[in-house]
Amino acid sequence: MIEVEQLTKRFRKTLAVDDLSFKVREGAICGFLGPNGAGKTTTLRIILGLVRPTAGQATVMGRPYRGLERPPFDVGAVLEASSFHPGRTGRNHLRVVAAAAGIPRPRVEDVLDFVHLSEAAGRRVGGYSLGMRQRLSLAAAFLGDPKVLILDEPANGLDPEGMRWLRELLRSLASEGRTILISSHVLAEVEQIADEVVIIHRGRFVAHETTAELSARAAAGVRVRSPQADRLKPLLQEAGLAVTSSEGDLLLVGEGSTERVGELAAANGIVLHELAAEKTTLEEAFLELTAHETTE
Amino acid sequence: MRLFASELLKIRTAPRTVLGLLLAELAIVGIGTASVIDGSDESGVPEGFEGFRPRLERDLIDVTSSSLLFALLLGVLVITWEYRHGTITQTFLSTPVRDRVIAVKALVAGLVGAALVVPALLLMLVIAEIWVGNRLDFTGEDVERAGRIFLASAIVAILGMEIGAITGRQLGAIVVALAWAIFAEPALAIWASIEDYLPLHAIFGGILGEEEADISFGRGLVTIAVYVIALGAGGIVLTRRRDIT
Repeated sequence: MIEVEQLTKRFRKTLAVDDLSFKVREGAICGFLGPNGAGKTTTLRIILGLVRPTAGQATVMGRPYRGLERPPFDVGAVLEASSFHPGRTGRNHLRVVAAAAGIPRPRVEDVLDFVHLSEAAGRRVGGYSLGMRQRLSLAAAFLGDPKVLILDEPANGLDPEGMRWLRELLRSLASEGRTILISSHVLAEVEQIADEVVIIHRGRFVAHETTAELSARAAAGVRVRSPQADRLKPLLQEAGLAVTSSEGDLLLVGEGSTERVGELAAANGIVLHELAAEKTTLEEAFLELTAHETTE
Repeated sequence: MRLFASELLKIRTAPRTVLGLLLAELAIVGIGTASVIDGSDESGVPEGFEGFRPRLERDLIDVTSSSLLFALLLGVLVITWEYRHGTITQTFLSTPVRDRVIAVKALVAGLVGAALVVPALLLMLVIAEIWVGNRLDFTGEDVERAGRIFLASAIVAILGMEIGAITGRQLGAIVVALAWAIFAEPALAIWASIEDYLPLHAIFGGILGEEEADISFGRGLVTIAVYVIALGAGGIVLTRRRDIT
Protein backbone atom coordinates (compact mmCIF):
# COMPACT_ATOMS: atom_id res chain seq x y z
CA MET A 1 0.00 0.00 0.00
CA ILE A 2 2.84 2.38 0.93
CA GLU A 3 6.21 1.45 -0.50
CA VAL A 4 9.52 3.19 -0.03
CA GLU A 5 12.36 1.92 -2.20
CA GLN A 6 16.01 2.83 -1.72
CA LEU A 7 15.06 6.36 -0.82
CA THR A 8 17.83 8.90 -0.38
CA LYS A 9 17.51 12.61 0.26
CA ARG A 10 20.40 14.98 0.60
CA PHE A 11 19.95 18.64 1.58
CA ARG A 12 23.27 20.15 0.49
CA LYS A 13 25.76 18.58 2.93
CA THR A 14 23.14 16.91 5.12
CA LEU A 15 22.09 13.37 4.33
CA ALA A 16 18.53 13.29 5.69
CA VAL A 17 17.45 9.89 4.33
CA ASP A 18 19.95 7.21 3.38
CA ASP A 19 18.91 4.32 1.12
CA LEU A 20 15.72 3.69 3.08
CA SER A 21 13.32 0.93 2.07
CA PHE A 22 10.17 -0.42 3.72
CA LYS A 23 6.59 -1.38 2.90
CA VAL A 24 3.38 -0.83 4.82
CA ARG A 25 0.79 -3.46 3.99
CA GLU A 26 -2.85 -2.64 3.35
CA GLY A 27 -4.93 -2.26 6.51
CA ALA A 28 -1.96 -1.98 8.87
CA ILE A 29 -1.32 0.69 11.45
CA CYS A 30 2.40 1.21 11.17
CA GLY A 31 4.36 3.32 13.64
CA PHE A 32 7.24 5.24 12.13
CA LEU A 33 9.83 5.74 14.82
CA GLY A 34 13.17 7.38 15.18
CA PRO A 35 14.89 9.99 17.32
CA ASN A 36 14.60 13.67 16.42
CA GLY A 37 16.41 14.34 13.16
CA ALA A 38 16.20 10.70 12.08
CA GLY A 39 14.55 11.67 8.77
CA LYS A 40 10.94 10.72 9.57
CA THR A 41 9.34 13.96 8.42
CA THR A 42 11.50 14.13 5.30
CA THR A 43 10.49 10.57 4.41
CA LEU A 44 6.79 11.32 4.91
CA ARG A 45 7.09 14.47 2.79
CA ILE A 46 8.78 12.50 0.02
CA ILE A 47 5.95 9.95 0.13
CA LEU A 48 3.49 12.85 -0.21
CA GLY A 49 5.33 14.41 -3.16
CA LEU A 50 6.32 17.54 -1.25
CA VAL A 51 10.05 16.84 -1.25
CA ARG A 52 11.94 15.47 -4.26
CA PRO A 53 14.12 12.48 -3.43
CA THR A 54 17.77 12.54 -4.46
CA ALA A 55 17.44 8.86 -5.34
CA GLY A 56 14.87 6.09 -5.02
CA GLN A 57 11.12 6.41 -5.00
CA ALA A 58 8.05 6.23 -2.81
CA THR A 59 4.62 5.08 -3.92
CA VAL A 60 1.16 4.99 -2.41
CA MET A 61 -1.30 2.45 -3.80
CA GLY A 62 1.27 1.60 -6.45
CA ARG A 63 1.77 5.15 -7.75
CA PRO A 64 3.86 8.15 -6.86
CA TYR A 65 1.68 10.63 -4.94
CA ARG A 66 1.78 13.04 -7.88
CA GLY A 67 0.36 10.30 -10.08
CA LEU A 68 -2.77 9.81 -7.97
CA GLU A 69 -5.86 11.01 -9.82
CA ARG A 70 -7.66 12.55 -6.84
CA PRO A 71 -5.16 12.52 -3.97
CA PRO A 72 -7.43 13.77 -1.14
CA PHE A 73 -9.75 10.81 -1.74
CA ASP A 74 -6.86 8.34 -1.55
CA VAL A 75 -4.50 9.81 1.03
CA GLY A 76 -5.11 12.04 4.04
CA ALA A 77 -2.12 13.70 5.64
CA VAL A 78 -1.37 15.54 8.86
CA LEU A 79 2.04 17.14 8.69
CA GLU A 80 2.28 20.11 11.00
CA ALA A 81 -0.06 22.14 13.10
CA SER A 82 1.13 25.52 11.84
CA SER A 83 0.09 25.39 8.18
CA PHE A 84 -2.86 27.72 8.40
CA HIS A 85 -3.57 31.28 7.42
CA PRO A 86 -4.10 32.86 10.85
CA GLY A 87 -6.80 35.20 9.57
CA ARG A 88 -8.93 32.44 8.10
CA THR A 89 -11.53 30.62 10.20
CA GLY A 90 -11.28 26.89 10.75
CA ARG A 91 -14.39 26.31 8.68
CA ASN A 92 -13.08 28.43 5.81
CA HIS A 93 -9.74 26.61 5.88
CA LEU A 94 -11.60 23.35 5.32
CA ARG A 95 -13.81 24.92 2.64
CA VAL A 96 -10.70 26.00 0.73
CA VAL A 97 -9.28 22.47 0.91
CA ALA A 98 -12.65 20.94 0.01
CA ALA A 99 -13.09 23.28 -2.97
CA ALA A 100 -9.68 22.33 -4.38
CA ALA A 101 -10.48 18.64 -4.08
CA GLY A 102 -14.07 18.88 -5.34
CA ILE A 103 -15.46 17.73 -2.01
CA PRO A 104 -19.06 18.88 -1.31
CA ARG A 105 -19.43 21.60 1.34
CA PRO A 106 -21.63 19.57 3.75
CA ARG A 107 -18.67 17.25 4.28
CA VAL A 108 -16.86 20.17 5.96
CA GLU A 109 -19.47 20.24 8.71
CA ASP A 110 -19.23 16.46 9.05
CA VAL A 111 -15.49 16.47 9.65
CA LEU A 112 -15.70 19.47 11.98
CA ASP A 113 -18.15 17.50 14.06
CA PHE A 114 -15.94 14.41 13.75
CA VAL A 115 -12.97 16.20 15.35
CA HIS A 116 -15.14 18.09 17.87
CA LEU A 117 -14.38 21.51 16.40
CA SER A 118 -17.86 22.60 15.30
CA GLU A 119 -18.21 25.23 18.01
CA ALA A 120 -14.84 26.84 17.27
CA ALA A 121 -15.14 26.57 13.48
CA GLY A 122 -16.20 30.20 13.06
CA ARG A 123 -13.15 31.54 14.91
CA ARG A 124 -9.91 32.59 13.24
CA VAL A 125 -7.24 29.88 13.34
CA GLY A 126 -4.76 32.42 14.73
CA GLY A 127 -6.63 32.14 18.04
CA TYR A 128 -6.60 28.33 18.15
CA SER A 129 -4.56 26.34 20.65
CA LEU A 130 -2.00 23.84 19.33
CA GLY A 131 -4.42 21.00 20.09
CA MET A 132 -7.23 22.69 18.14
CA ARG A 133 -4.91 23.20 15.17
CA GLN A 134 -3.98 19.55 15.33
CA ARG A 135 -7.67 18.61 15.25
CA LEU A 136 -8.16 20.94 12.29
CA SER A 137 -5.27 19.23 10.50
CA LEU A 138 -6.94 15.89 11.17
CA ALA A 139 -10.25 17.26 9.87
CA ALA A 140 -8.54 18.32 6.63
CA ALA A 141 -7.00 14.86 6.31
CA PHE A 142 -10.40 13.19 6.73
CA LEU A 143 -12.22 15.43 4.23
CA GLY A 144 -11.86 12.98 1.34
CA ASP A 145 -12.56 9.94 3.52
CA PRO A 146 -9.22 8.49 2.33
CA LYS A 147 -8.07 4.88 2.36
CA VAL A 148 -4.57 5.82 3.52
CA LEU A 149 -3.61 8.15 6.35
CA ILE A 150 -0.11 9.55 6.80
CA LEU A 151 0.23 11.30 10.11
CA ASP A 152 3.32 13.12 11.36
CA GLU A 153 3.21 13.43 15.13
CA PRO A 154 -0.59 13.78 15.24
CA ALA A 155 -0.69 13.66 19.03
CA ASN A 156 1.42 16.82 19.35
CA GLY A 157 -0.42 19.41 21.38
CA LEU A 158 -3.31 17.15 22.31
CA ASP A 159 -4.23 16.92 25.98
CA PRO A 160 -4.58 13.45 27.58
CA GLU A 161 -8.27 13.32 26.67
CA GLY A 162 -7.43 14.34 23.11
CA MET A 163 -4.76 11.66 22.91
CA ARG A 164 -7.20 9.01 24.05
CA TRP A 165 -9.70 10.29 21.49
CA LEU A 166 -7.04 10.11 18.77
CA ARG A 167 -6.06 6.59 19.80
CA GLU A 168 -9.65 5.37 19.67
CA LEU A 169 -10.22 7.20 16.41
CA LEU A 170 -7.21 5.59 14.75
CA ARG A 171 -8.22 2.15 15.98
CA SER A 172 -11.70 2.69 14.59
CA LEU A 173 -10.30 3.87 11.24
CA ALA A 174 -7.97 0.89 11.08
CA SER A 175 -10.84 -1.48 11.80
CA GLU A 176 -12.45 -0.14 8.62
CA GLY A 177 -9.45 -1.48 6.70
CA ARG A 178 -7.59 1.78 6.25
CA THR A 179 -3.82 1.89 6.14
CA ILE A 180 -2.19 4.26 8.61
CA LEU A 181 1.45 5.35 8.79
CA ILE A 182 1.99 7.35 11.94
CA SER A 183 5.22 8.91 13.11
CA SER A 184 5.66 9.86 16.72
CA HIS A 185 8.25 10.55 19.32
CA VAL A 186 5.75 9.53 22.01
CA LEU A 187 6.68 5.89 21.75
CA ALA A 188 4.15 4.74 24.30
CA GLU A 189 1.41 6.17 22.08
CA VAL A 190 2.56 4.21 19.06
CA GLU A 191 2.90 1.08 21.17
CA GLN A 192 -0.78 1.31 22.02
CA ILE A 193 -1.93 2.00 18.48
CA ALA A 194 0.40 0.34 15.99
CA ASP A 195 0.44 -3.26 14.77
CA GLU A 196 3.96 -2.85 13.47
CA VAL A 197 6.76 -0.34 13.56
CA VAL A 198 9.43 0.89 11.20
CA ILE A 199 12.43 2.31 13.01
CA ILE A 200 14.94 4.59 11.36
CA HIS A 201 17.98 6.32 12.72
CA ARG A 202 20.13 8.93 10.98
CA GLY A 203 18.04 8.39 7.86
CA ARG A 204 18.81 4.67 7.75
CA PHE A 205 16.58 1.67 8.18
CA VAL A 206 16.96 -0.03 11.55
CA ALA A 207 14.04 -2.43 11.91
CA HIS A 208 10.56 -3.28 10.66
CA GLU A 209 8.77 -5.56 13.06
CA THR A 210 5.48 -6.11 14.77
CA THR A 211 5.27 -4.34 18.11
CA ALA A 212 5.28 -7.74 19.83
CA GLU A 213 8.46 -8.77 18.00
CA LEU A 214 10.07 -5.50 18.88
CA SER A 215 9.25 -5.87 22.56
CA ALA A 216 10.58 -9.42 22.54
CA ARG A 217 13.74 -8.28 20.85
CA ALA A 218 15.07 -6.56 23.95
CA ALA A 219 16.27 -9.03 26.54
CA ALA A 220 13.37 -9.91 28.78
CA GLY A 221 14.15 -10.85 32.36
CA VAL A 222 12.73 -12.08 35.63
CA ARG A 223 12.51 -10.07 38.82
CA VAL A 224 12.89 -12.14 41.99
CA ARG A 225 12.70 -10.96 45.58
CA SER A 226 13.60 -13.43 48.29
CA PRO A 227 14.85 -13.28 51.89
CA GLN A 228 17.19 -16.11 50.81
CA ALA A 229 18.60 -14.28 47.75
CA ASP A 230 22.14 -15.25 48.79
CA ARG A 231 21.23 -18.95 48.43
CA LEU A 232 19.18 -18.50 45.27
CA LYS A 233 21.78 -16.57 43.28
CA PRO A 234 24.37 -19.38 42.94
CA LEU A 235 21.60 -21.88 42.21
CA LEU A 236 20.40 -19.75 39.32
CA GLN A 237 23.92 -19.41 37.99
CA GLU A 238 24.50 -23.15 38.25
CA ALA A 239 21.31 -23.62 36.20
CA GLY A 240 22.79 -21.41 33.49
CA LEU A 241 20.65 -18.32 34.24
CA ALA A 242 22.60 -15.06 34.29
CA VAL A 243 21.91 -12.82 37.27
CA THR A 244 22.28 -9.33 35.87
CA SER A 245 21.69 -7.45 39.09
CA SER A 246 21.78 -8.31 42.76
CA GLU A 247 20.87 -5.83 45.42
CA GLY A 248 19.82 -6.92 48.91
CA ASP A 249 16.91 -9.33 48.57
CA LEU A 250 16.32 -8.42 44.91
CA LEU A 251 17.71 -10.34 41.96
CA LEU A 252 17.27 -9.60 38.30
CA VAL A 253 17.67 -12.60 36.07
CA GLY A 254 18.60 -11.69 32.51
CA GLU A 255 17.14 -14.75 30.83
CA GLY A 256 14.68 -17.51 31.57
CA SER A 257 11.05 -17.66 32.49
CA THR A 258 9.25 -17.07 35.76
CA GLU A 259 8.26 -20.75 35.66
CA ARG A 260 11.85 -21.94 35.57
CA VAL A 261 13.01 -19.60 38.34
CA GLY A 262 9.96 -20.48 40.50
CA GLU A 263 10.46 -24.22 40.06
CA LEU A 264 14.16 -23.92 40.90
CA ALA A 265 13.36 -22.00 44.08
CA ALA A 266 10.64 -24.48 45.11
CA ALA A 267 12.88 -27.48 44.49
CA ASN A 268 15.42 -25.98 46.86
CA GLY A 269 12.93 -24.82 49.50
CA ILE A 270 13.60 -21.13 48.96
CA VAL A 271 10.92 -18.65 49.96
CA LEU A 272 9.99 -16.05 47.32
CA HIS A 273 8.30 -12.75 48.10
CA GLU A 274 8.08 -11.65 44.49
CA LEU A 275 8.41 -13.34 41.12
CA ALA A 276 7.57 -11.34 38.02
CA ALA A 277 8.48 -11.11 34.37
CA GLU A 278 10.21 -7.83 33.60
CA LYS A 279 8.04 -6.25 30.94
CA THR A 280 10.04 -4.65 28.17
CA THR A 281 8.44 -1.53 26.72
CA LEU A 282 8.66 -0.55 23.12
CA GLU A 283 10.63 2.46 24.24
CA GLU A 284 13.30 0.31 25.83
CA ALA A 285 13.48 -1.90 22.77
CA PHE A 286 13.62 1.17 20.56
CA LEU A 287 16.38 2.78 22.60
CA GLU A 288 18.37 -0.42 22.52
CA LEU A 289 18.02 -0.68 18.75
CA THR A 290 18.97 2.91 18.03
CA ALA A 291 21.78 2.81 20.59
CA HIS A 292 23.12 -0.25 18.81
CA GLU A 293 22.88 1.60 15.50
CA THR A 294 24.71 4.61 16.94
CA THR A 295 27.65 2.57 18.16
CA GLU A 296 28.12 0.84 14.82
CA MET B 1 -12.43 24.89 -12.21
CA ARG B 2 -12.19 23.37 -8.70
CA LEU B 3 -8.75 24.82 -8.21
CA PHE B 4 -9.89 28.19 -9.53
CA ALA B 5 -12.80 28.25 -7.04
CA SER B 6 -10.43 27.28 -4.24
CA GLU B 7 -7.95 30.04 -5.10
CA LEU B 8 -10.68 32.67 -5.22
CA LEU B 9 -12.00 31.40 -1.90
CA LYS B 10 -8.54 31.81 -0.37
CA ILE B 11 -8.62 35.51 -1.21
CA ARG B 12 -12.20 35.97 -0.07
CA THR B 13 -11.64 34.21 3.25
CA ALA B 14 -8.49 36.10 4.26
CA PRO B 15 -10.04 39.55 3.96
CA ARG B 16 -7.73 41.58 6.19
CA THR B 17 -4.83 41.71 3.75
CA VAL B 18 -7.03 42.43 0.73
CA LEU B 19 -8.99 45.02 2.68
CA GLY B 20 -5.76 46.71 3.78
CA LEU B 21 -4.57 46.94 0.17
CA LEU B 22 -7.95 48.20 -0.97
CA LEU B 23 -8.11 50.93 1.68
CA ALA B 24 -4.58 52.09 0.85
CA GLU B 25 -5.49 52.17 -2.83
CA LEU B 26 -8.67 54.14 -2.20
CA ALA B 27 -6.80 56.62 0.00
CA ILE B 28 -4.28 57.29 -2.77
CA VAL B 29 -6.97 57.53 -5.45
CA GLY B 30 -9.02 59.87 -3.25
CA ILE B 31 -6.06 62.16 -2.61
CA GLY B 32 -5.00 61.97 -6.27
CA THR B 33 -8.48 62.80 -7.53
CA ALA B 34 -8.78 65.78 -5.19
CA SER B 35 -5.35 66.98 -6.21
CA VAL B 36 -6.12 66.74 -9.96
CA ILE B 37 -9.43 68.57 -9.60
CA ASP B 38 -7.92 71.22 -7.37
CA GLY B 39 -5.12 71.84 -9.88
CA SER B 40 -7.42 72.00 -12.89
CA ASP B 41 -8.19 75.68 -12.57
CA GLU B 42 -8.58 76.88 -16.18
CA SER B 43 -7.26 80.31 -15.34
CA GLY B 44 -3.72 78.86 -15.18
CA VAL B 45 -3.53 78.33 -18.96
CA PRO B 46 -1.83 81.27 -20.75
CA GLU B 47 -3.64 82.96 -23.57
CA GLY B 48 -2.91 81.34 -26.94
CA PHE B 49 -2.12 77.95 -25.36
CA GLU B 50 -5.72 76.77 -24.80
CA GLY B 51 -5.11 73.84 -27.19
CA PHE B 52 -2.46 72.49 -24.82
CA ARG B 53 -4.76 72.60 -21.83
CA PRO B 54 -4.63 69.24 -20.06
CA ARG B 55 -7.90 67.33 -20.24
CA LEU B 56 -9.35 66.95 -16.77
CA GLU B 57 -11.14 63.69 -17.68
CA ARG B 58 -7.92 62.05 -18.90
CA ASP B 59 -6.02 63.14 -15.79
CA LEU B 60 -8.78 61.77 -13.58
CA ILE B 61 -8.68 58.41 -15.36
CA ASP B 62 -4.90 58.38 -14.98
CA VAL B 63 -5.26 58.72 -11.21
CA THR B 64 -6.72 55.22 -11.12
CA SER B 65 -3.54 53.79 -12.63
CA SER B 66 -2.15 53.91 -9.07
CA SER B 67 -4.04 50.62 -8.69
CA LEU B 68 -1.15 49.01 -10.60
CA LEU B 69 1.05 49.17 -7.51
CA PHE B 70 -1.60 47.40 -5.43
CA ALA B 71 -2.22 44.87 -8.18
CA LEU B 72 1.51 44.07 -8.10
CA LEU B 73 1.46 43.61 -4.31
CA LEU B 74 -1.68 41.48 -4.47
CA GLY B 75 -0.13 39.36 -7.22
CA VAL B 76 2.93 38.76 -5.05
CA LEU B 77 0.74 37.90 -2.05
CA VAL B 78 -1.42 35.41 -3.97
CA ILE B 79 1.43 32.92 -3.81
CA THR B 80 3.89 34.15 -1.18
CA TRP B 81 1.37 34.21 1.67
CA GLU B 82 1.00 30.48 1.05
CA TYR B 83 4.73 29.99 1.60
CA ARG B 84 4.73 32.36 4.55
CA HIS B 85 1.88 30.64 6.40
CA GLY B 86 2.78 27.12 5.27
CA THR B 87 -0.58 26.63 3.51
CA ILE B 88 1.33 25.78 0.33
CA THR B 89 1.73 22.29 1.87
CA GLN B 90 -2.03 21.75 1.82
CA THR B 91 -2.29 23.30 -1.65
CA PHE B 92 0.25 20.86 -3.10
CA LEU B 93 -1.29 17.94 -1.22
CA SER B 94 -4.64 18.70 -2.85
CA THR B 95 -3.11 19.47 -6.26
CA PRO B 96 0.29 17.78 -6.55
CA VAL B 97 0.72 18.86 -10.19
CA ARG B 98 2.29 22.19 -9.36
CA ASP B 99 2.17 23.63 -12.89
CA ARG B 100 -1.61 23.73 -12.60
CA VAL B 101 -1.41 25.57 -9.28
CA ILE B 102 0.85 28.24 -10.79
CA ALA B 103 -1.30 28.59 -13.91
CA VAL B 104 -4.50 29.01 -11.89
CA LYS B 105 -2.83 31.43 -9.48
CA ALA B 106 -1.73 33.53 -12.47
CA LEU B 107 -5.30 33.58 -13.75
CA VAL B 108 -6.69 34.52 -10.34
CA ALA B 109 -4.01 37.20 -9.84
CA GLY B 110 -4.89 38.70 -13.23
CA LEU B 111 -8.60 38.79 -12.49
CA VAL B 112 -8.24 40.18 -8.98
CA GLY B 113 -5.58 42.65 -10.16
CA ALA B 114 -7.97 43.98 -12.82
CA ALA B 115 -10.81 44.02 -10.30
CA LEU B 116 -8.80 46.38 -8.10
CA VAL B 117 -9.34 49.09 -10.73
CA VAL B 118 -13.12 48.99 -10.23
CA PRO B 119 -13.26 50.57 -6.74
CA ALA B 120 -10.58 53.07 -7.79
CA LEU B 121 -12.65 54.15 -10.80
CA LEU B 122 -15.86 54.31 -8.78
CA LEU B 123 -14.30 56.44 -6.06
CA MET B 124 -12.76 58.77 -8.63
CA LEU B 125 -16.09 59.14 -10.45
CA VAL B 126 -18.03 59.81 -7.24
CA ILE B 127 -15.59 62.50 -6.08
CA ALA B 128 -15.40 64.07 -9.54
CA GLU B 129 -19.17 64.05 -9.99
CA ILE B 130 -19.74 65.72 -6.63
CA TRP B 131 -16.96 68.29 -7.11
CA VAL B 132 -16.86 69.18 -10.80
CA GLY B 133 -19.70 67.14 -12.32
CA ASN B 134 -20.82 70.05 -14.51
CA ARG B 135 -17.38 70.28 -16.19
CA LEU B 136 -16.95 66.58 -17.01
CA ASP B 137 -17.44 65.12 -20.46
CA PHE B 138 -15.95 61.62 -20.70
CA THR B 139 -15.38 60.46 -24.26
CA GLY B 140 -14.72 57.10 -25.90
CA GLU B 141 -11.03 57.87 -25.64
CA ASP B 142 -11.35 58.04 -21.85
CA VAL B 143 -13.19 54.73 -21.76
CA GLU B 144 -10.44 53.15 -23.85
CA ARG B 145 -7.87 54.58 -21.45
CA ALA B 146 -9.71 53.04 -18.50
CA GLY B 147 -9.73 49.73 -20.38
CA ARG B 148 -5.97 49.94 -20.80
CA ILE B 149 -5.60 50.47 -17.05
CA PHE B 150 -7.67 47.30 -16.43
CA LEU B 151 -5.39 45.37 -18.77
CA ALA B 152 -2.17 46.80 -17.30
CA SER B 153 -3.37 46.08 -13.77
CA ALA B 154 -4.10 42.45 -14.67
CA ILE B 155 -0.67 42.04 -16.31
CA VAL B 156 1.17 43.63 -13.38
CA ALA B 157 -0.65 41.31 -10.94
CA ILE B 158 0.35 38.27 -13.02
CA LEU B 159 3.97 39.48 -13.08
CA GLY B 160 3.82 39.94 -9.29
CA MET B 161 2.56 36.38 -8.84
CA GLU B 162 5.32 35.06 -11.09
CA ILE B 163 8.02 36.95 -9.18
CA GLY B 164 6.50 35.51 -5.99
CA ALA B 165 6.61 32.01 -7.47
CA ILE B 166 10.27 32.44 -8.36
CA THR B 167 11.43 33.85 -5.01
CA GLY B 168 9.01 31.93 -2.79
CA ARG B 169 9.34 34.77 -0.29
CA GLN B 170 6.97 37.66 0.33
CA LEU B 171 9.49 40.34 1.25
CA GLY B 172 11.99 39.10 -1.32
CA ALA B 173 9.46 39.33 -4.14
CA ILE B 174 8.33 42.84 -3.15
CA VAL B 175 11.93 44.05 -2.82
CA VAL B 176 12.83 42.56 -6.24
CA ALA B 177 9.81 44.19 -7.92
CA LEU B 178 10.34 47.60 -6.33
CA ALA B 179 14.12 47.52 -6.89
CA TRP B 180 13.48 46.81 -10.56
CA ALA B 181 10.98 49.67 -10.84
CA ILE B 182 12.98 52.23 -8.89
CA PHE B 183 16.61 51.41 -9.76
CA ALA B 184 17.16 48.74 -12.40
CA GLU B 185 14.82 49.82 -15.18
CA PRO B 186 15.59 53.56 -14.98
CA ALA B 187 19.31 52.68 -15.07
CA LEU B 188 18.88 50.38 -18.08
CA ALA B 189 16.63 52.89 -19.84
CA ILE B 190 19.66 55.13 -20.31
CA TRP B 191 20.41 53.01 -23.40
CA ALA B 192 17.72 54.01 -25.83
CA SER B 193 18.27 50.89 -27.91
CA ILE B 194 16.99 48.60 -25.16
CA GLU B 195 14.39 50.89 -23.61
CA ASP B 196 11.59 49.49 -25.80
CA TYR B 197 12.29 46.01 -24.48
CA LEU B 198 12.00 46.89 -20.79
CA PRO B 199 8.83 45.72 -19.00
CA LEU B 200 7.71 48.91 -17.28
CA HIS B 201 8.31 50.89 -20.47
CA ALA B 202 6.16 48.36 -22.30
CA ILE B 203 3.39 48.71 -19.70
CA PHE B 204 3.37 52.47 -19.19
CA GLY B 205 4.43 53.46 -22.70
CA GLY B 206 2.82 50.76 -24.81
CA ILE B 207 -0.24 49.61 -22.91
CA LEU B 208 -1.14 52.74 -20.97
CA GLY B 209 0.05 54.94 -23.87
CA GLU B 210 1.90 57.65 -21.95
CA GLU B 211 2.31 60.60 -24.24
CA GLU B 212 6.09 60.89 -24.06
CA ALA B 213 6.62 57.19 -24.90
CA ASP B 214 7.21 56.18 -28.50
CA ILE B 215 6.15 52.54 -28.26
CA SER B 216 2.92 51.31 -29.83
CA PHE B 217 0.22 49.41 -27.93
CA GLY B 218 0.82 46.25 -29.99
CA ARG B 219 4.58 46.30 -29.49
CA GLY B 220 4.14 46.97 -25.78
CA LEU B 221 1.74 44.05 -25.50
CA VAL B 222 4.09 41.67 -27.31
CA THR B 223 7.05 42.80 -25.21
CA ILE B 224 5.23 42.33 -21.93
CA ALA B 225 3.82 38.98 -23.10
CA VAL B 226 7.40 37.76 -23.50
CA TYR B 227 8.12 38.77 -19.89
CA VAL B 228 4.91 37.10 -18.66
CA ILE B 229 5.81 33.86 -20.45
CA ALA B 230 9.48 33.91 -19.40
CA LEU B 231 8.79 34.69 -15.74
CA GLY B 232 5.91 32.18 -15.74
CA ALA B 233 8.19 29.46 -17.08
CA GLY B 234 10.80 30.36 -14.46
CA GLY B 235 8.15 30.27 -11.73
CA ILE B 236 6.90 26.86 -12.85
CA VAL B 237 10.37 25.32 -13.08
CA LEU B 238 11.45 26.62 -9.65
CA THR B 239 8.14 25.70 -8.03
CA ARG B 240 8.38 22.16 -9.42
CA ARG B 241 11.88 21.79 -8.01
CA ARG B 242 11.23 23.43 -4.66
CA ASP B 243 11.14 21.15 -1.63
CA ILE B 244 8.27 21.95 0.72
CA THR B 245 9.92 21.22 4.07
